[in-house]
Amino acid sequence: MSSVPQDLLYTKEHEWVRVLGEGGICVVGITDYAQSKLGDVVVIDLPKVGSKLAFMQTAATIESYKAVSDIYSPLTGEVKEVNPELSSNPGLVNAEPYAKGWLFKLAPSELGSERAKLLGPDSYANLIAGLS
Amino acid sequence: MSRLRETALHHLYAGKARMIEFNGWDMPVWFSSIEKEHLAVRNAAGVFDISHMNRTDIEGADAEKLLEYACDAGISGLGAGDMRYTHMLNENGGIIDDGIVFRLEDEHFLFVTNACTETRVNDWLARLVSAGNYRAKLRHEGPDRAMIAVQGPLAAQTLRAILGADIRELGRFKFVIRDSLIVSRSGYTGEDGAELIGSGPAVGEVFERLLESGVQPCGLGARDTLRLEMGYPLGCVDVTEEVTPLEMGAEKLIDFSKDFVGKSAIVGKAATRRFRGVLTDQPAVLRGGSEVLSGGRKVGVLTSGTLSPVLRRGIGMGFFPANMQPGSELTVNLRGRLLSASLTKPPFIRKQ
Repeated sequence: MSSVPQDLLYTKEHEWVRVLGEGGICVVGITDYAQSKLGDVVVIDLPKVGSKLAFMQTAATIESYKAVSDIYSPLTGEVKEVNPELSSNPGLVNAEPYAKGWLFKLAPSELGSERAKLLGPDSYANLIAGLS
Repeated sequence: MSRLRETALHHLYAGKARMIEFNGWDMPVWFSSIEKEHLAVRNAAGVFDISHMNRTDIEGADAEKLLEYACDAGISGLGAGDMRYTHMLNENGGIIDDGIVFRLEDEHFLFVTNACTETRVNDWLARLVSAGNYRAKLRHEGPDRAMIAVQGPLAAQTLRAILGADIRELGRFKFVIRDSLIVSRSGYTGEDGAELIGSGPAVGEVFERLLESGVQPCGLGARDTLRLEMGYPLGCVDVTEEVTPLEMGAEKLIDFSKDFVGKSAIVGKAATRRFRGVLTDQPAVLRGGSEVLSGGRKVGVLTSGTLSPVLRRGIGMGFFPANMQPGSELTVNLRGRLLSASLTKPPFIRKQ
C-alpha cells in the first residue's frame, strides 16, 4: 500500500503540496504511489529558481530507467528554492518521497482560489485505490 | 487483446514483481528495483526467468546440415556439449535473428533464439527443412519447459551447493546435462554464470532454492541495463532484418568456407556502417530513437540506450559510419536536450 500523509494536498497527476505556515511558501513533491510506479529515479530536471509557474504547468521532469514523466506545478507561483540534494542523489525521491525527496518550493500567488482544485488525502487515496 | 502468455515459472513470483508485456508474455520488469538487481548481478548473484526465449529442438540425420545452411557461424566443428553464437540470415544477408546453437548429440541440437521472432524463426526453419528435404525434425519447446539465467561473481558457488556440479569446471560456452537439466556456462550480462534449461518443475525448484540462498530475483529491466553495459545487441531492437552481420562487426564469427543462406549477399563486401556505442559525459538515460550528431550533421540514431548504473553516465548503441573513429566527439539529441558524448567500442565497462 502506498502511503498518503494526512497533512498534504494532492493533484490527480500524483504531486503533493505541503502548505507551510500562513501559505507564504508551499513545498512540492511526488507521491509514494508515483515513485513506486516509476521505479528507480535516476535523472531529475528541476525548474529554475525565480521562474514563474502557472497552475498545472510542466515544472520538472523525472526520469527512471523505464520512463520519463512530466511533473506539474500544483499551484501558480514563483519558484523560490529547488532541492539541492537531488542532482547527486535522485534516489531520495524513491526513499523519502514526502521528506528528503521534495522537489521545489514556491511562493503561491493564487492559493486561495486554487486550493479547492487540489485533492484532500482521502480523495487521493480513493483515486489511487481505483488505479492499482 | 488476447491473453498474455505465462512462463512455467510465472506462478513462483506472480504478485511479487512489477510486470510488463514483453512480446506477448507477462514478464517481470523488476522485483525490487532495476538498479538493485543490476548491482546484485555485478557484485554478487542474480537469477532471471528467461523461459520466454524461443527454443527449437532439431533432431535427425541432416540436423547438422540444416543448421550449417541456416546459420552464418560454423556448426560442424561443434562437439556434444559445445555451444555457438550465430546469426540466421535471409537471402539479402539481413539478420532474421541471433541465437545460440547447443550440440546435444551428434544428430541432435537445440537452437535458442529470441521471443520476438518466434513465428518468423519457426516458419523460416520449417521452410528450409522442406525446401532442402533435410531429414531433420523440428520441435518447439512448449510452456511446460523453462529456462533461467544465474549470473554474477557468486553464481557458480551458489549453484554448486544446489546442483552438486561446478560450472567453473566447464569452459565458457560449454554445457553439461545433469539430472535432465541443461546447464551451460553462458549468459547475457558480462558476468560469469550459467543458464539452465529443463522441465518447468525441475527449473522451478532450482529457481526457488537460489532465492532461498539469497540470490536476487531480477527482471527484464536489469537484463537490459546489464547487456547494454557490455554492448551486447538485442534482437528486434538493435538487430533486425535491415542489419547484416558485417555491420555488427561479426566477421570473425562467420564461416565463409561453407554455403549458408545470405552468404552471396555479404561475401567480399565491406560494411559502410558499424554497430557502436555512445557514452555521454554526464548522467542521462539515453533512449532508442534519439538522433546523434557530429559537427551539426546527423551521423546515426540510437537503437537502444539507458543510464549505466555502474558508470552513472548515459550509454547507447546504434549504427555509425564505419570510418568514424572511436573517441570521436558526438552530440546526442535527447528530446531536444543536446548532450555531449563520444563514440566508443563497447563494452562500456571492463570485466576481468
